[in-house]
Amino acid sequence: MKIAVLSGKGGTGKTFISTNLAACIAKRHKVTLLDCDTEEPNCSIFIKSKIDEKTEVSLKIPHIDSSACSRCKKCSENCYYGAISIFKQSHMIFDFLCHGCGLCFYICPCNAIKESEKPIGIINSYIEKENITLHEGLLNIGQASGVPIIREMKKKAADSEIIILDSPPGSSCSVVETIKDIDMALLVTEPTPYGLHDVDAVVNLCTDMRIPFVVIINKDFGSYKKMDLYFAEKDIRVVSRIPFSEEISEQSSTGRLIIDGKSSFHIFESICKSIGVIS
Amino acid sequence: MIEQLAIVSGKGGTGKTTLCTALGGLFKNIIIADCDVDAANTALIFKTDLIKTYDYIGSRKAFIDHGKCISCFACVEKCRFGAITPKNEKPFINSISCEGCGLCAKICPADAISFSVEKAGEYYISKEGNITLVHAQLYPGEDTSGKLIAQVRKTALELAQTENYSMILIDGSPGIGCAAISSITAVNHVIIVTESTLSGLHDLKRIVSVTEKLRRPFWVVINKSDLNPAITEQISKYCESLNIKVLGCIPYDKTVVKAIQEEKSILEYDCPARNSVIEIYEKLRGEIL
Repeated sequence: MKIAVLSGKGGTGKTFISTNLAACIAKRHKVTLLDCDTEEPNCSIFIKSKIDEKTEVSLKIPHIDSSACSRCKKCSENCYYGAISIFKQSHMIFDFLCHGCGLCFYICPCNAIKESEKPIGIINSYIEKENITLHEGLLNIGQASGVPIIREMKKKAADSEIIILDSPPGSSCSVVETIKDIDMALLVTEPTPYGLHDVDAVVNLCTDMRIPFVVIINKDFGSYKKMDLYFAEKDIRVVSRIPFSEEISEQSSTGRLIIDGKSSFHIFESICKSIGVIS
Repeated sequence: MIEQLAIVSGKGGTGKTTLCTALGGLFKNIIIADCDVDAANTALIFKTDLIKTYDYIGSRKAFIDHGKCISCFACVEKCRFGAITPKNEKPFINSISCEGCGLCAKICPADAISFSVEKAGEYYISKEGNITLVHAQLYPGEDTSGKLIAQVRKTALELAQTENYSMILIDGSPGIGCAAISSITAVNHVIIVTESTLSGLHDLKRIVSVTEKLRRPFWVVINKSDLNPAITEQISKYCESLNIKVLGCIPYDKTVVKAIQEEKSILEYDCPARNSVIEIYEKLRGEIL
C-alpha cells in the first residue's frame, strides 16, 4: 500500500504527519518512508538513523565534438528547452536547461554528439531503524527539478509492502511524480484561508488523477467554517483534527516524534485505522 | 531604477506571505508579484479588483495518431521520461509524464506523432488603492512553474516601467528548485525567512547556497523566534559565521493566525509581530534607499 502525504501549502505539517504516521505503523509492520521533497527534505531530522548507502542520480547531458560538427544547427533548432546554441566557430550547451531527453543525440546527422552523466542529486538510504527504512532524495544546489530523483527513489521501495511518501509542497510536476502511482493520498491542511485555497488545488489534482484521498486538519485552533463547509459540500472525509498545541510545536521544532506520548499515539493510531493501513 | 526585492524561505510555511503583505502595506508606490504560483495567497489579503486576465500556455504534449501508428514501439523504447506505454498492441502517451521534448515525433517512422499546447493557467493584474498585484494560478499538475513565474515577473516589470513604480516586491516560492530560482533570478535583494525549528535551519542553509550561487545580496529574517530560543541562537550563530545580516526577528504571535483567518494584514492589529515587522521595514529602508 502506497500512501502519499501532501498539502499544497508549505508548512502545514506534511513531514510531521509522514514521520509520525510511519512510526505509528512501525509498531507492528515494517514501513518504508520516501522523502520526496528533494528540494528541502526534512524526514531525516525526525527519523534519526545513519546513512547506509548513497546513490547518485544523473541526467544524460550532450557534448558536441566540434571537429565532427557540420554546424547544421539541427540540434539547437529542435531542442525544446533552448539548451543548445551553435555559432559559426563554437557552441554552448546550457546544462541547467537540459532535460536529458536525448533528442539532439538521436537526430545529429554527423554523430557529433556524445552524452555524459551529469549528477543532479543523490538518494540517501538510511539503515533500518525500529522497522522504518528511510530513503531521502536530495537535489543538488542550483538544479531545477527533483523529478528524476523521485522516479529513481521509488524503484528502491518496489518490494516494500507499506510505503509512506512525504510529498513536496505545491501541486506541480514533482508532486505529480510523487503521487502518480499511489493507492491513497492524505491531504494535510490548516484551518485558514491560505490552507483552504491551497488544499483546493491538491483536491483538484487528486480528483483529476483519480486518486482516492482523505483530509487531516492540522494545527486546529478552532473551527474555520468556510473550510468545514467546503469539505461537507464536496463530501470529503476528514479523518482527523489535530489540535494546535505549543507542546507539539516545541517537540517538532527539535526533531522529536510525538507518538511516544500516550494521547498523541492515539491520534495516529486512529488515523491508521480509518485509512485501513492497520486493522 | 526599479528595486526588485524577493522574499523566499526554502521551507514552506515560515511566513513569507505574512511578511510580504505587511511590507506591501508599508512601502508606498510598489507592485507585489506573487510568484508562489502553486499556492498564491497574497490576493486573499488584499481585496483587489481584477483589472486584466491573461492566458498562460504551458509546455506541449505529444499525441499519437493510432490510424498511422505501425506499432513498432520505437517511441516506447526511446522515451526517457517513461511517458509512453504499450496497451493493446498500441503505444499510449501519458500526458502527465510527457515533457514535450519531441524525440518520439522525430524518430517515429510512420510520422504518427504530433504536438498540442494547452492553457496551463492564468495570470492577472489586480488593483486596490495604492496596491497593485500581479499574480497567477497554475493549473494543478502542470509542470512549468518556473516559466509562469518568469511571465509574472515580466508583467510586473513592464507595469512598473510604464506606470512609474519604484519597487517590485516578490512573494517567492518555497524550495530551492526551478520555482525558487525563477523567483530570485536577477533581483536586487533577497530576504530569506526562516523559523526557529531544526527543519527551518536545515532548509535555510540550502536556500542560502542557491542565493549565493546566483550572487544575489540577501538578509535573513527569523520568524517565530521565541518558539525555541536555543535554535534561534543556533540560526544566529550560523548567520554570524557566514557574515549574513539578520534583519530582524518576529516573535511567535497568535494574532498572526487570527489576521490570516480574518483575511487581513497584520498591520491592522496592534501586536508584537506587527511591531517587529515595522522595525524590519525601517532597517530595510536604511539598507535599500
